[in-house]
Amino acid sequence: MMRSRWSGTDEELVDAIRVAVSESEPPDGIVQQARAAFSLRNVVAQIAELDFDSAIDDDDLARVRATFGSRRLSFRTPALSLTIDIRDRPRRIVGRIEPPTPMTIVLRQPPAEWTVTTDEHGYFIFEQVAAGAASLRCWTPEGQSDVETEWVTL
Amino acid sequence: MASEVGELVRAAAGGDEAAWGELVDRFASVVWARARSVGLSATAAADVSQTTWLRLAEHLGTLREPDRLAGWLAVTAHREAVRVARLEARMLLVDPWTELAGLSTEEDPVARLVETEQTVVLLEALGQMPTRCRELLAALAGDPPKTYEELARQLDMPIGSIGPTRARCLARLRALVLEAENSDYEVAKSSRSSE
Repeated sequence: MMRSRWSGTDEELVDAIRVAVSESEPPDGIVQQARAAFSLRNVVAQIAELDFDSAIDDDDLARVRATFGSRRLSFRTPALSLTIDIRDRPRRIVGRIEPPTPMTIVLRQPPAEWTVTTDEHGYFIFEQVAAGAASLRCWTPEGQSDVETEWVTL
Repeated sequence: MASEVGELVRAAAGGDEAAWGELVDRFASVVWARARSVGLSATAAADVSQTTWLRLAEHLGTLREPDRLAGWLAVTAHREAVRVARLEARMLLVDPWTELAGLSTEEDPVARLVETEQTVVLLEALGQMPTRCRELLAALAGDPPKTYEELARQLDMPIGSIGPTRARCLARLRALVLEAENSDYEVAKSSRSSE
């Protein structure tokens, strides 16, 4: 059934292009955000990859957490792991660096940024967090470590 | 032909902002179509689109197959949209008013899915076409359709070459969409980490 659509005449293909293009044309704001993403690309920090997201990786746990309105994400580099719990209403982030390390943590939500520092146990908190694309950048005062998480949608 | 995209990816990875802009021009509609395909609100779809492009900026230098950027973007946007949809569904469980609002869907979800797949496949293929073909096909598909005289003027081409170029570009596009459909479903395709 799907194939017949592409096996039709050239006129039918042009019609299909017309429909697809007009239905999917992104609003200007979307295109501008996409352009602006380039200036936020990371050129120094090491990427901490997302290795767990309760929204998709663990149904049972996700169901339990749903009761408490929270989502857990964890990111990893060979040297450290970073776990955050995101609570809803109001949205706040409670995070922890392991092993516990004094670090400066920047929550990046383009075009805004917020900065906090970890406590002695490696915990940190961001209050009143907005929805949207987000990434955390974490570095030690002496600069031995400079890590940035993959982008996620909060 | 697809290597035009690969070259743009490599140039952008090297810091070429104009190359990045061209990638956005070619594929913003693919990401947008995907972001909206699982029934997200416009705001949530906008967040998914932004996350997808930020992910690309972050991974520019490490893409396994720069030539297959269209597929990478479609898969990344799809996965991110599913994540956000799950979170929104979770909200439904705790918010009866949102749940009630979500019940009024009169569309056939299967038909909608098939249509989205076709749209995304076509947009991916369009984004991979050489610049000349993309310009011509965009002009041809304009609403209202342009005459060959208008096309010749707009694209600065001899009028006699429009017909043959149109046929060649459409044949190439058809080959790309058939190839995409004959391979596995996009998500399965990208989880193979070959080469």
